Amino acid sequence: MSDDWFDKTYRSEETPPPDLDARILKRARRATRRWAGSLVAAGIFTIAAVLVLAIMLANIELDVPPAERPAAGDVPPYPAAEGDCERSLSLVGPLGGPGRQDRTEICLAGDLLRADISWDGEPACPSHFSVAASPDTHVRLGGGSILIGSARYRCVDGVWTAE
Amino acid sequence: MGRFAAGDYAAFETLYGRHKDAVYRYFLRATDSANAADGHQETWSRVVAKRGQYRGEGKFRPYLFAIAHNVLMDQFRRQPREAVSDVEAVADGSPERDAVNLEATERLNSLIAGLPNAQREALVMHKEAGLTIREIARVTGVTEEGVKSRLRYAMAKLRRGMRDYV
Repeated sequence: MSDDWFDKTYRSEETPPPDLDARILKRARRATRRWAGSLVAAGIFTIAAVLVLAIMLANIELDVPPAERPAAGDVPPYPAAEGDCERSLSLVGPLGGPGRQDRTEICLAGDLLRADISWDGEPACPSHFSVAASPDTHVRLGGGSILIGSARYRCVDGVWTAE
Repeated sequence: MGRFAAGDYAAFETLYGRHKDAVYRYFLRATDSANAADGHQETWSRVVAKRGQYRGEGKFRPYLFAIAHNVLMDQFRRQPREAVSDVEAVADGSPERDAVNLEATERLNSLIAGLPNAQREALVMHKEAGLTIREIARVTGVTEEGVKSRLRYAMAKLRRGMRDYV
């Protein structure tokens, strides 16, 4: 089917009136600008939110006293023994460095033994830790460390290390 | 369209310049000039509003005419089409176009305006916008055979109506 006659006869030269063109282009320009503006606003909001979050995290970090920070490595567990002490003991000796008189309060509750250290000067390690123990576990200070049963707990570079 | 979707207004100007006449004529063949202006404007407003949803698959023109088709259907629903009588033949002033050609063009435009909506739409999309049968089928939601049939009927009617001129 040849459509030549149609193509020769059909003329389409109408075009939108200039004021209609202007209206459509103006609207598109406005929408593009608004959209770009909202993108910028979203970007600023995101950056601000990230900054606030970073500042909050930094504050949380700064608020933690060094002696309370969890230490990494081979460290005795932190949770304290709960309940009344079935057995208690007070020991004084150098744990945070030579010549110091650091006081260690030992408390046995159930099968946990808690050691609370009052530092003679700057805290050298976390001020308490708990380990599994029984009523017949021997506890004493010696060589700048706490001996609990057969294990020796020494404060090394801010970390309680079991030997 | 991808550039416009990314916020480049100059890209919209290019798109508009390239496709505006085809869209405007699509509406002009289907309705009167006031409704054609409304339909044309609404189509481009939707292009702007939906720019974020454009996925860049395929050509822009079928995408554009899918929107125009929906706008036209909305217009028909709001205001059922009556016989269009104000389609104007436009003279371009070139000396080689004589009075007989002008009359033939006027007659052809009247016949196109008098076609059933579906046939006229398929014809205008094909002849005016340059859409393929497959693209028209996708835009209007009918089968390719359906589009072919509409075009065949439309052309047959036009040929009959133009017997004295061609």
